Amino acid sequence: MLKVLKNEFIKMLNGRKFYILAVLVIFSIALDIIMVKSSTQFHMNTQNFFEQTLFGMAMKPIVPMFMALVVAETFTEDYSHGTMKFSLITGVKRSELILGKLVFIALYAVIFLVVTFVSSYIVGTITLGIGIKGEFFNNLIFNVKLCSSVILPLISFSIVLSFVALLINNSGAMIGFGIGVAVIMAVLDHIKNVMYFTFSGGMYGTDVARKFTTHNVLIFTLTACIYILIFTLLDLIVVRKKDILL
Amino acid sequence: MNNKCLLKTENLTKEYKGRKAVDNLNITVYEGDVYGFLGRNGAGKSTTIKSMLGLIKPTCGRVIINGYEVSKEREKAIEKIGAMVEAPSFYTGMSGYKNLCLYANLYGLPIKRVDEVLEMVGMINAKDKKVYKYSMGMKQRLGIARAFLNNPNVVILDEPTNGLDPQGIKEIRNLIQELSEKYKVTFIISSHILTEIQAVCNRIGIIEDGQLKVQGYVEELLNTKDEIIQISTVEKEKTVRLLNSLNIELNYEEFEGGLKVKVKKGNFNIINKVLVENDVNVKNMSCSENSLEEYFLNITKGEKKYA
Repeated sequence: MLKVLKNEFIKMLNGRKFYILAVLVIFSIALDIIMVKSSTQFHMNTQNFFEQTLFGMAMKPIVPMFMALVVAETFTEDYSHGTMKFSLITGVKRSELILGKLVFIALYAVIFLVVTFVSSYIVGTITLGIGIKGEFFNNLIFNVKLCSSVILPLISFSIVLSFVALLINNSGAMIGFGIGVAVIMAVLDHIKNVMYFTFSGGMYGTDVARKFTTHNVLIFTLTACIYILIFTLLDLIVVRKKDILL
Repeated sequence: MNNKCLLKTENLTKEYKGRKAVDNLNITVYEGDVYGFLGRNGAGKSTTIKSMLGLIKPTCGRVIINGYEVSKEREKAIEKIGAMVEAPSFYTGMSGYKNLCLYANLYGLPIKRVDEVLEMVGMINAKDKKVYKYSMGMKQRLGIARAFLNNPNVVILDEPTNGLDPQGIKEIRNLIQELSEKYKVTFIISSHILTEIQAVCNRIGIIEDGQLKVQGYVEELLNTKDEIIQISTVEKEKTVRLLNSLNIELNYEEFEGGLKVKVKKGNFNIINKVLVENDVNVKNMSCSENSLEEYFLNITKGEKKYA
């Protein structure tokens, strides 16, 4: 599994997609700053700007959409371009290949969130200032927790997409499907209590996440973990039975 | 002749929605063979190869490689197998070298092995070029290099000359011959370019509609000790009578403009002399060897002439 993971990172770092997407995330944050500055929310500083970024442009819809692109490339394109079969010919087990790719997807999601977090703080500090100095550290911890609360739902969303990616052999169709799901879930998760039961609920639960009650943290974590577990198992079953035709 | 069997399929069958893509296939590949796996497009060659590699699961039957059954011990069975299946697919945004490094990593091989295989196929100077800049011939070479990464004892090449120009085909043919002789590797080459197969392979298997039509040594199947004499004449009956009067073993077949006679090599002059002495009106008389192309067409049409 680690060999597969290493290869995925080599491919990521040797390709352009990661850098382009990272730049786009940073650009979207810069765009957010312009919007904030042009609005009446002048009380905003780098500490509350991150919250605005995370539950604004980052989660609705940029990061989930980018994850759809990454999932399509990692699973569908690898299969449809005929490169997956050559990995399997090396004797790597199908389960190892899929688990390696799933861990890569999960780490990719974390990297996107780290890029969002760091660039939001840097851009926010430069343009809005650091805010009340005494509260900076507390707010930083709060923002780290806020960012962390999104990780598992984002991974859960990506792993659900990976299951579909294993069934669809067309990367264009997979990207379209992924973006469609991201948009639909963003709407669906606003319906009262639905977010507690969907794989992506924690990604959009702005108000709920802010409160950080044990109940909220547990239920989002548990729901995401259940989806991650179920869809990882489904991925393994699908890939075990799948004929590698391309 | 070494008869150690390295790869065999036993009653291999693969069905897709009730249609048999491979039907009770039994092929055997011995150590040192350069085995040509022939068939038209859609005959079941690639399905068979993918079954050998454990990429698709057979409906029934089994594949045994190096003594291991693929469905039960896939990792051990394919441990010493190198393969290029269908198109030579690579991560095109990366260099040839980096592509091979990915596979060396999966095999757990030292990176210096990548340089070794690139040297073997004559690609060392182009190793840092991105794969999308490679010509088809270079991609095929890189595909062969990848197939050699793990020091295999059997290399499977599926249509290795697909998409190549005549010069490229010749280069790949020479490369296969060179690698086969130098590294004593057993090759299985699937193709429908019959002249290439005839030039490279010592054994062949012909597959049609998923079924093995024939398997054997090229020399025996084509009976290269024989030649075909084509006699263009209107006096067919007289020619047949004269041929039958000769004390030589022959088979003949009539065609619109004359006769085709299959006979042991060296009898051309005797036949020519008899026809001249008996004043047979012969427009033209030519001699050719059995070709794999003709043999293949006869087999796949189910009309095994001269047999």
